[in-house]
Amino acid sequence: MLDFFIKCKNWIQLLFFLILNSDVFALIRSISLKRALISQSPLKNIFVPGLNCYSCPSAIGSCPIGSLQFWFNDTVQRINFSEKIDLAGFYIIGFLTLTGGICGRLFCGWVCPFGFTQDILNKFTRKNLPIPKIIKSFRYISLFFFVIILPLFIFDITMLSPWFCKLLCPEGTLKAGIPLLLIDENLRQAASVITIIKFFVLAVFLISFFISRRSFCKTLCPLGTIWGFFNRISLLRLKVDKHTCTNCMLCEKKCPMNIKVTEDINSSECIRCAECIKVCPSQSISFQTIFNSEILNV
Amino acid sequence: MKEKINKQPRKLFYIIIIITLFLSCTKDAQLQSTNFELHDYTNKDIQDFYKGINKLIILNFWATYCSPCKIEMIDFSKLYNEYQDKVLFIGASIDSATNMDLIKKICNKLGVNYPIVYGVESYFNNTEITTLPKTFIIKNNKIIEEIDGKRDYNFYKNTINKYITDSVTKKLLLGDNKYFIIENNITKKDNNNYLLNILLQPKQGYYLNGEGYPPIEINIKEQEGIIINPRKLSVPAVAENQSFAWEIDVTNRKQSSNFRIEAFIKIIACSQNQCHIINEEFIIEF
Repeated sequence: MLDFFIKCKNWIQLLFFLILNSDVFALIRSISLKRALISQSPLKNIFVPGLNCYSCPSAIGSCPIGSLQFWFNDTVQRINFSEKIDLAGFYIIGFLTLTGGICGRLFCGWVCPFGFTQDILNKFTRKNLPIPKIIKSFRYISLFFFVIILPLFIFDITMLSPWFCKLLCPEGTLKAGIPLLLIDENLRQAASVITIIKFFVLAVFLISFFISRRSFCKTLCPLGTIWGFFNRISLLRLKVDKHTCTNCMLCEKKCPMNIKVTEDINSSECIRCAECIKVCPSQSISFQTIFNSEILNV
Repeated sequence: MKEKINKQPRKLFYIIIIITLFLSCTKDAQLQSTNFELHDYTNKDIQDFYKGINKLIILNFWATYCSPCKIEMIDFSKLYNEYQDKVLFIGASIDSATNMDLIKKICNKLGVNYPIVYGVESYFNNTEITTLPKTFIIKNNKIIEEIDGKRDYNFYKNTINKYITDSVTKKLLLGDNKYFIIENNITKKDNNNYLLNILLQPKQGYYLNGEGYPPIEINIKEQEGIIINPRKLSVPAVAENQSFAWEIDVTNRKQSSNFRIEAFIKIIACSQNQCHIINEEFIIEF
């Protein structure tokens, strides 16, 4: 059964991409009114397990990273003015802990729309150059500095912003920034230095997708970084059977994240895409739960 | 499985700690807190607030969670100080009414000095407010401009100057006149009252009238429904490289807002060797 899912993985990713951006009515309304309109359906109250910008016209659900930063901003402002804090942020933290605790970075491999975008673009070149460790460690700066520290420690209330979304996130630029700028002429007049920075970041990543698979997931994604912490302790994990493994290294060649599969399969970088499982000739790799039983075995 | 602790993440960790300590030392800008009026408009139409106020209205929608809005509000307070007699700023917060305390404290911190309404719905003039900040420029109860997103101080200063004076400058040349230029500049004082400036300037190499000649005369034709004061303009002479200007008050009592006035000019334009008599009619469109 797992075989079937692995074969259809791209279709499953496409399905999630469409579901997570299914408020087509909002998109059509936005285009017909020539105004930047974002879906305001009640579904926006739900967090989606992937990087899917809130501001994309047809997006349903909220990006947990964007919501987290906004909650940090709100909390700082309220503390500044001795107001009661909104407890909504604990829902976000709870959501991330629950999803990560169950399956670690599985959502990166199967659900995240931006992951899907990267996978599809890389199919044109099928190149996957490994990225130096120092550049890969930038994802910790992305998470700790841009998502947590900046939104929490900037005390000037006019500077409180979701800094990752504002300066870096290429997913937001691609799926929200570009469509909204195309639709709304008024918005184009508000373009500034930040717009240039964001387009530059997007351009760099778009080029990198053709050279190194999942380069954004490797180097910048704060959501993947959070889930990565859970990879070693999550309910669902991967296992390599050392007895049947022939050390052919096909898994490492195929791995989009360039992980040393045979040595460290539950590394914080693993997105649990199951490509190693697909390619292993001796079927030595499998999904497991912490209770050490094999699940979804073919 | 024991994790290898690499040196690089550790270094990164220390760098992050240092930056955090640095940021926590940043001082919040201390701004003057001034009095502003806070109005509850939860269930009322926001237009009730500015109906009947004969100024340029700048209606700005903002929210406590929108940082660019707060930067703009500091600029608005500065502009309100400068243009208080001509412009009214209104800040409409789309936060829920339960956030009234937070709104008050934020406005105090930012030094807001213009009226704030809160608890309004994110709806205005039958359009949803979907982007913040959103600003409407309103004159005579009509929306003349809609601005999405943050703009800077200079942008709003130019916008205000554009709309508080209606100025039209028209250069009028009498045929292929090579002797002088007549320019007019119309400033609208209010709905029916205008200030017309007429500027007369000889071209290079010429001077107008002077010793031995009668004065230059401009006679504006009388018209029913249009009050022109003065109707007869004159000046003894205008030397080369100089100019002369007249100010005329024009009041339109007619039904239509478009009208024109006709004027006759009698000038003697002289160069070094020759003099020319020019009697011409010209028309000024309003």
